[in-house]
Amino acid sequence: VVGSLTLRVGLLLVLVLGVGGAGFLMGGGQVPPRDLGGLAGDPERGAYVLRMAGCVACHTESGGAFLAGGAPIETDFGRFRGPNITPDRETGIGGWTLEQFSAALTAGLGPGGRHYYPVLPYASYAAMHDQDIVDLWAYLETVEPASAGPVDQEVPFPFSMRPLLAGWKLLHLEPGPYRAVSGRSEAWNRGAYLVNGPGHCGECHTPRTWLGGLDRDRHLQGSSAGPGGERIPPITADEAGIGGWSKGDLVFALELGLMPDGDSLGGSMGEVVEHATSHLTLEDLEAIATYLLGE
Amino acid sequence: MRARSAFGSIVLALSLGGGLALPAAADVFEQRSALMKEIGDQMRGLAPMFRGESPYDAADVRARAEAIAERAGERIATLFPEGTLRDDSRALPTIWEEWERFEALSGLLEERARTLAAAADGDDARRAFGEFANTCRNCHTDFRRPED
Repeated sequence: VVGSLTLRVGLLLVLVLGVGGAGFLMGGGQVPPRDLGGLAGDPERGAYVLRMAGCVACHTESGGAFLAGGAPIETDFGRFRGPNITPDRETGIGGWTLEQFSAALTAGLGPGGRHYYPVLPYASYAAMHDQDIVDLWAYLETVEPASAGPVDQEVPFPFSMRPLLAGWKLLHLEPGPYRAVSGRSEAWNRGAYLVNGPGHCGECHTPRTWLGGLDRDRHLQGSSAGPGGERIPPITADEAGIGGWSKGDLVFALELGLMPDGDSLGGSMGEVVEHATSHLTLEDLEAIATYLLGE
Repeated sequence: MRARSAFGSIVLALSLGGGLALPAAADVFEQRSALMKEIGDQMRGLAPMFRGESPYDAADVRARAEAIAERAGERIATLFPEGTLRDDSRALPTIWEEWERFEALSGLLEERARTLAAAADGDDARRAFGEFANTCRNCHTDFRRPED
């Protein structure tokens, strides 16, 4: 058993180093920067984008200052903490430019070109529209600055080698923004954007490959390895998922946490409802339902 | 009020068919599961009316909200005595670590159910329903383990 484990770890290492090395040499993960120069940010809209993008749950610790850093998230790849995203110049993102913020969201790059771990769901945020990014930034600049200690991500070898993330991006990061699918309604397209872009539903509801990328062949089919080892249910429009739900059922689940059987959502989805979906307009919740139910 | 609620408890205990005094741990688990299901059943009846999928019936809303209120507050708290965790229970140990908050949420659930009952005829019914549902979710987020 020990031998086979060593073999597996060794094989994993060779593959990760190979993919990562190839990505590094090919300049992988270099998503072209967005040209955001001509856009004016609206902080009020940005406060709404913050909820669309579900930033609060991971970047705010219960009882802590708003957006000044979140509680640790246990994953198969390490223990991560959402850092301080208030405009504090020392420990937050107060010294950043809009372009740096955009690179972090859509390319997983920190100032200076450091690769972020995809626990920041940039593979989803890559689909975000320019205007949403600009508005979100305008809002974040208005948040009360709060000082917080530095965040150390606890990631074991080989994933501790950040340059390897260039290879990960080569495989898993698709540059955006979202392009509407023709032949589908406006509501369906809005829903697809919200679910797969800012809402990043698939980051938990889609299972991951052994490399930690979303397994696109099993889109939204549920995962046994959610944050903290939580089992995440499928939300596909079939018997295994939410095929029997009405649009109204789904709207109530997202707005209130109320399930069709009268039970209430809890756990990590309870937090998602509290910090994200309950803040969305009825129109957006209906768009999400339209897309998920395939109507 | 105290005398009335003590009397109410006795009537309730008798009506449960002999579940008098302190029930055994296994019974408590069954009882609270059943209680939660009863609350859920009322919610399932309420939801379509607040979505406009079935005709709004204020008397029915009031009756359901009152039925929930009777099952909330102290009634919930007494069904979670310490040491009644089971492997198949989704209750989290945080219930007893943060007992005051848990008890306060049970109380808030009753209060919001009564508010909904009182608001059933008015324009505030939808809001009261939403606030009630939020209380269910808040408690389940902090004190219930997700499904395996």
